[in-house]
Amino acid sequence: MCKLIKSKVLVLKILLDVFEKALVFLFLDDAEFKKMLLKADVDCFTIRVLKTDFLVNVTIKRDGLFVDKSKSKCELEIIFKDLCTAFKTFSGLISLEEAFAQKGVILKGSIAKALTVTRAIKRLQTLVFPDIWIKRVLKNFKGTSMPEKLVFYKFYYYYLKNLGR
Amino acid sequence: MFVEFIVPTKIITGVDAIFRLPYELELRDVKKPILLTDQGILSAGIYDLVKQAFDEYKFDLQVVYSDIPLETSVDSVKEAYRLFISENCDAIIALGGGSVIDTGKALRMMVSEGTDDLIALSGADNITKKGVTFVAIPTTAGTGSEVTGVAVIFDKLSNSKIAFASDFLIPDVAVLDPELTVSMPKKLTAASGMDALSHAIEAYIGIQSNEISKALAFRSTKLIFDNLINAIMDGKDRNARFNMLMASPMAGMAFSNSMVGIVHSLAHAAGAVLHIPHGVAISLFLLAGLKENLDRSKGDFSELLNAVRCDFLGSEDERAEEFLNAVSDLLKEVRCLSGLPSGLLEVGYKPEFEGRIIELALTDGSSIFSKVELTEEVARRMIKASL
Repeated sequence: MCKLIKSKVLVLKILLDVFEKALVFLFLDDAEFKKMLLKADVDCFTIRVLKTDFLVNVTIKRDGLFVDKSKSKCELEIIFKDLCTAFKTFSGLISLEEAFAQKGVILKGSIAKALTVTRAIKRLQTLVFPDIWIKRVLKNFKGTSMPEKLVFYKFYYYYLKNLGR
Repeated sequence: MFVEFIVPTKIITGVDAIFRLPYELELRDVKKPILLTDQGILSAGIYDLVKQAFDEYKFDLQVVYSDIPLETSVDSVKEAYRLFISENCDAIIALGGGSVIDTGKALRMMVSEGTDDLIALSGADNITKKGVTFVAIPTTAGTGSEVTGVAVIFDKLSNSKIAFASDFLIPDVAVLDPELTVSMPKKLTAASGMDALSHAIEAYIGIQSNEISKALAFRSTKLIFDNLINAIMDGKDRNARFNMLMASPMAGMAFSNSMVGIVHSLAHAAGAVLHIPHGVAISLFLLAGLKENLDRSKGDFSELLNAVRCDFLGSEDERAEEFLNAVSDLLKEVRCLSGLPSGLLEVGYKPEFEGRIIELALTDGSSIFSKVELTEEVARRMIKASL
């Protein structure tokens, strides 16, 4: 899967862009996702790949979620040990839980808070990947409901509309 | 499939294994170790047994920190750290149960990272150096802590348990001497034995289970089924004690690499709310947790039955059910012989605790590695089944 890592790097950049925009969109549009992230009780978390520039820095406030590229220190850092594991996770080939289980992730900060963020990211994966794709990797996945499917379409409309911004 | 498996600990086990300890320290050029233990170990005379092993050697075994509580805390680790630094120690020996060994792991982290801010080191794979020599001498057979890279320390300030996970926490040497476990009371023998059994089974059925961990977990399950009852009935049965001491690190190595699951999530949560020992909490949730896994782990349970009742023939479904029956039978016998509680109500559970237990269970790291998604509904069912 990761033999052609150079071409995958470009794909990973796109996937990270989708991920960032999905975080912002779902925080506004999906009450459950917002509730899950707020439950984590973190002001800021970072997801990055070790020793690379691949970074998602997320600041959470009650009224909104902000993504910035500055490398300011967050109380919770989820760091992929290698590009390959990050690629598999962001492309929905494995869940973040599996990445943890495969010891592909370094975690700085509270494990309990990271678990709550992980659950929220799982919710994100449920909503931004088609059922047929994500059902292979998520535990007990029973398919998305009609309102959730609507979120899926609304997100991609929003994403394409904001492409390049 | 992807497997990362690490077993860096030198395991020395057998009758009089403790007498090898001076050599192991010499080999690692240790001059002045700190010995961590608790008051129970001192009063049971176990510390004296260990000290005997040093009688004729030139080691300075004078630095002893023995104030570790049953549930170790950030404060005790900091006290041990201050002693380690002021006495210029160069190695750590942890003599005791899981709490003492976890203190040793946390102390090693602080020493290697050169900080007394333990909380800043919490998380997974967040430590960059291995640090000083660390020897674990377990006096119970069950936690597997002597071979794992996980430590849990209670923080009074936040009133929560802080988890640490890193390969650099795994002890360099584990000395497993059955003589040090013969004085273990029946109830503790039973609780720690059930803890080991849960490590073995949950490692076998988890999402990160693999051929190496399965081999260890399978054999560990067999050793526990064959020896736990004897160890409870006759504490001085050194053969049973030895076999339980073997089963514990085998299950420990399995779960350290393949992790545990929802039984541990609920047990950690109930332990924190009800203030009951970890092994007792595990014994209360084991069967309910395994039943929740039945649909997704039939094949694994059917395989594990070979470790318990190899003469049982039947379909995969029947064999899986039979394995759960075997666990249930073992639990009943263990409870009858040791006085372990048979339900949550016996340990002070009240309906108003349900919400808090569920909340804590859902944020417990162990649930990540379970094939079954731990939802509020699943947690509620497990609590009801364990009343």
